[in-house]
Amino acid sequence: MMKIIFLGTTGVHHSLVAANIYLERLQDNDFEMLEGYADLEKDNSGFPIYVAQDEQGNQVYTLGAGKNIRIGKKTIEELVTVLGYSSRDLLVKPISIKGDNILYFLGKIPRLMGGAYLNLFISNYILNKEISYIEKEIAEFKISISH
Amino acid sequence: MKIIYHCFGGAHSSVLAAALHLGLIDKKKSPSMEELLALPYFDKTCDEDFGSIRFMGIDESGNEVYILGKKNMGKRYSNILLGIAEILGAKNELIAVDCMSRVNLNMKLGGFTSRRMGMVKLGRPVLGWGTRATFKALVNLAEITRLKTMHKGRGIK
Repeated sequence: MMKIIFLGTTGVHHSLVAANIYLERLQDNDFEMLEGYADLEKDNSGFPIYVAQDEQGNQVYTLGAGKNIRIGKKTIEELVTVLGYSSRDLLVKPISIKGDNILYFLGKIPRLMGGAYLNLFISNYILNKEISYIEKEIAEFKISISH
Repeated sequence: MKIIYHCFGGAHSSVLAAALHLGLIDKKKSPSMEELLALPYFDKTCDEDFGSIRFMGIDESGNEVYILGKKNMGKRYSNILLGIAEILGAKNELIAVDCMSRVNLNMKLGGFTSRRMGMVKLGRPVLGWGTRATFKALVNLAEITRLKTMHKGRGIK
């Protein structure tokens, strides 16, 4: 079984939504019911965040790589090779949407300045606008890994 | 075991730390600019190299030593690398060493001028001053890492 990593600027916004769409667990676009949604403390460590197993037994994770997703993807793929594994063991699916840098910067707003409220409000707004794009990306991704 | 030294560009502090680890440069005396430029990758990288894990050599314990430029991805990059190794079941196979705490202002200015602005003649002397000023700190970092990983490369505990 392999590991699938949905890579975004953060691991708790669009990448988490994408992972849950992949796992068919998102209902009525209710992002706030997703475990860990917009939880920037969870994202800050930099460690991959485990979401669940898919029907094939593949372990699904999310990961926040900051503003440089392309660099993050490249490093992870090269690290997999350096450690003696391949894309059959670990697959990286970058998720880029309009406003993903804003999602990243939400974590920099201090709590006293309404950071937690702004984080949820702006995240929901951006994700509602981009949800159809994420759904399309995941549909294509599912087809690509089934081959 | 694999050891990855990482810094902003993967062109200066990580290269020098890896070279010290591998014994490619004398740790007892501060290197000249010519000695630094003779090192593979030192002040020779371009934008496409960001994110690439580049092989530097194998140390005396059989550990593979690599360098990596992470751009402005900060301290969390070590955790990203270790986290990936952990979910692959290879946590004990990897050590990620962040060199940024040993980088001084002259190294940043010289490196930026030479690599990002392409003004090599202006940047290199400043980079050289900075590198020589932080040389002992990098020797210390490489030695700590080398001692920590000694014998692990051949599976000797």
